[in-house]
Amino acid sequence: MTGAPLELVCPAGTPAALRDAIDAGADVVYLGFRDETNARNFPGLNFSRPELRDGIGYAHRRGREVFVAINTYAAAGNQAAWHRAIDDAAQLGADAVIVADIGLLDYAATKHPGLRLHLSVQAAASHAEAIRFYHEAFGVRRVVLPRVLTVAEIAQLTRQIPVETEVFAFGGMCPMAEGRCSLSSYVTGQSPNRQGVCSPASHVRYEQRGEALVSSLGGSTINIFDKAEKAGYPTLCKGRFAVGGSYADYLFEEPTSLSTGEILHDLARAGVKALKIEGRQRGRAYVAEVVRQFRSLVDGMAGGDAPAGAVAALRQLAEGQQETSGAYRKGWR
Amino acid sequence: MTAQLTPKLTLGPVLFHWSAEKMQDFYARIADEAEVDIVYLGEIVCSKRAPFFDPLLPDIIERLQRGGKEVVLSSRALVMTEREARMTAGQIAGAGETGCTVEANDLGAVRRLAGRPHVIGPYVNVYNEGTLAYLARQGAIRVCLPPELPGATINALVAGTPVPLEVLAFGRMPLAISARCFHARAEGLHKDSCRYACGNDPDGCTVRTLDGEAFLAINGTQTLSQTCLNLSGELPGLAAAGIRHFRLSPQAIDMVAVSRLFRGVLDGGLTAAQAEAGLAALAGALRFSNGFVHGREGRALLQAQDRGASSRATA
Amino acid sequence: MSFAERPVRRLLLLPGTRHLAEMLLNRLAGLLARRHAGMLDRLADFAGATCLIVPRDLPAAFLLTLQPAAQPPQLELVDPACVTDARATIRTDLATLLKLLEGRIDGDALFFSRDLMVEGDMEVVVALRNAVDDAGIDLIGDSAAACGPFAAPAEKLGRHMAGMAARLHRRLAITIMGGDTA
Repeated sequence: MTGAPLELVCPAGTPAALRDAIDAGADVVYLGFRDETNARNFPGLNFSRPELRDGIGYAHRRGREVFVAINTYAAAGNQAAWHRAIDDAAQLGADAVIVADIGLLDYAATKHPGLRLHLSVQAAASHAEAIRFYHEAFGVRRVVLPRVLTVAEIAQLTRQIPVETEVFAFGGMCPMAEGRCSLSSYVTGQSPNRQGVCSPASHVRYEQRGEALVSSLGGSTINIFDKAEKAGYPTLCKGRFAVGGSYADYLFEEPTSLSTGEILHDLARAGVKALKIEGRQRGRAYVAEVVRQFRSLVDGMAGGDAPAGAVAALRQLAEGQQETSGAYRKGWR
Repeated sequence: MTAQLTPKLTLGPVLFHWSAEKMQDFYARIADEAEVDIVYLGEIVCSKRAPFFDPLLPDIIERLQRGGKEVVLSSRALVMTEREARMTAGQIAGAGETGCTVEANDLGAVRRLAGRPHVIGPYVNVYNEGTLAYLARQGAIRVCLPPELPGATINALVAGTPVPLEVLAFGRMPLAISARCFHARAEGLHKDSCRYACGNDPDGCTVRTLDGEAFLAINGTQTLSQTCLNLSGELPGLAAAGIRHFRLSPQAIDMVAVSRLFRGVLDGGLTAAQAEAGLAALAGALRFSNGFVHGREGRALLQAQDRGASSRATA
Repeated sequence: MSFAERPVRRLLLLPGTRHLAEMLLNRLAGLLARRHAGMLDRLADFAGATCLIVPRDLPAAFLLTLQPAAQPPQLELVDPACVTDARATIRTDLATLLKLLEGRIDGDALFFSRDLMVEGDMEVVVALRNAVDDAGIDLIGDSAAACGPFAAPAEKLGRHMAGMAARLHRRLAITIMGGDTA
């Protein structure tokens, strides 16, 4: 391997998780404000302005960085709330903001020309021309690639675009092109693009039906788990559904965790700059452990040998202890 | 304020994998009989289907134009490969010869169309004034809003919009698009060897919950609403707010009759209740919904009295 | 099981004992709330929400009621079978609950493996989890801090006693239930 090591971009839903992620070896922590300006707008989660200021201080003192995700779509009639988020992130010294909305990118590029802009996965820029648009129009410096591309497609893409690429390396995965999905909105009225929530907890119910556990969203059954089966959160694209007369299973995606532990060399060779770990909504015990394992994997790459045990440890951390390389391998489609 | 113009009706691209014969017959009738002013054409869902439809396009375009329809070519919603990007580039390059404008459904197409007149399709995320203003500066002459927008947002956008806005008013709503083909998956196949399973479901295929509730619909790589959007009752309010174009999305039902009912409401010849009754008779197994525009979950169907209350609230 | 439960349940039913236990619990809640102010901030939207916390290996449960504007939540000791109107319910064993409280264990993984059961309003559960996870609660350290100048020796004593209690709990469990709960 040549070139700089892969940068580890790690999630933090709380200041405690930020400190744990940095202590566990994160190069960068990404986070959001405690409101609908970010795509993990969950109850009790995220950062106040003072918490962000302290978090940035904690990271910078250790030579690490903080990216602020302002990656929902600003609401017509209330764009000011999103503009304030951009202004505050810039003023508090965020190292980059992660944005998807064209109106917001335009605002940030005009108002804060020095602010580093990353294109959120929520923009679903999946090919060179779309990425060039964001680069030319707003000076976007990095794109977080949608989870729909194969490693071969990523390799081809990185050669064609003038910006860095960041790819999802571990955690929950969307089977749909991100930022272009209204499934949650259709079923619950709450959308990832507008409210920053998918399959919101407020609409989730679990119910015992005899020995089985039934999970539902907005009153519709998303899954039924046998007694012996691992349970899952009723994210609606990860439920069991019936089609036609014969199919009744995970139609869109299994409740698996994306894991790239075994294809890091391929991703590095494809020209990827940074690895993103999903999970701002997960607890800090989980975040710290995933970061620790990825730190050892990335450090191991530079040394040439893969640390034994890290891949197995990641498997233990995967949702329902199943993992997938997702769209990175073509067979997924 | 200029005199109130009668809003236009448009026909969205066929989202389904219909046979060549069905496509030709469908557009022949649309050209001759449908009460629509603008017709969007193009295989926007799956590049694997395009080779079946693209060869038919020149004749269909010519036929529609002869029937007095303005034709707009719709670009693919999800472009992932270089080959797909080249297909969109080719579509845009060729549009001029046929006298058609192009509707951009992804940002690659927006870049390529910058500086010349084009339409922004419902697959481009336009949620606020800033985005709308930017796209208008780039040459957009009309913007079709994403279906999940609530009435309050539509009103805020239309109040100061630099270009006419279009709203989806009928048909199963596009909710998601994926690299993965769910029709193939339900058949135990992969996308590469899909055997065009989506072709068996001309209206999309119902997805049920394990408790038997009709929940969503799949259409290859696209996920649609199980319900059929029907804003016939909301048309007068939206038109009064300033929406100039209403889009009907083709289903495998009598779309000519659907267009006449919507035209009747816009012209004032039909009441919403009459149109609704007519549409219900045409819709067969499709159930209606109108939740999004009322700020609710998209699958909800609000009754006339609730609608009155919520449209007053958002006006 | 019923043999093991009986003496404890009787103990709780003595009004004085129950009162004392609740007083101590609420003292602890107040102490934690003061030392981790951000936690209450994260729960501010949920004033009035109740959550029944059922340690499956104890005969009693905790009924947590969140309070408005920066007041510590209230805790009552209850018979879990008698509470049916809690907005949410969490069930797991006591040792797991304590680890969750201190953010030392991944709550999602416990839920996936069904070692932790949740019912009712998930919003309350998620908010509680996130608030507690951020607080970085250290039960012994936090309690010891309340002892002012004696904090360091109190912490040492506390950790020693916690170790003893865990060993005793394990031994009792083996004796009574014929299995190891650890």
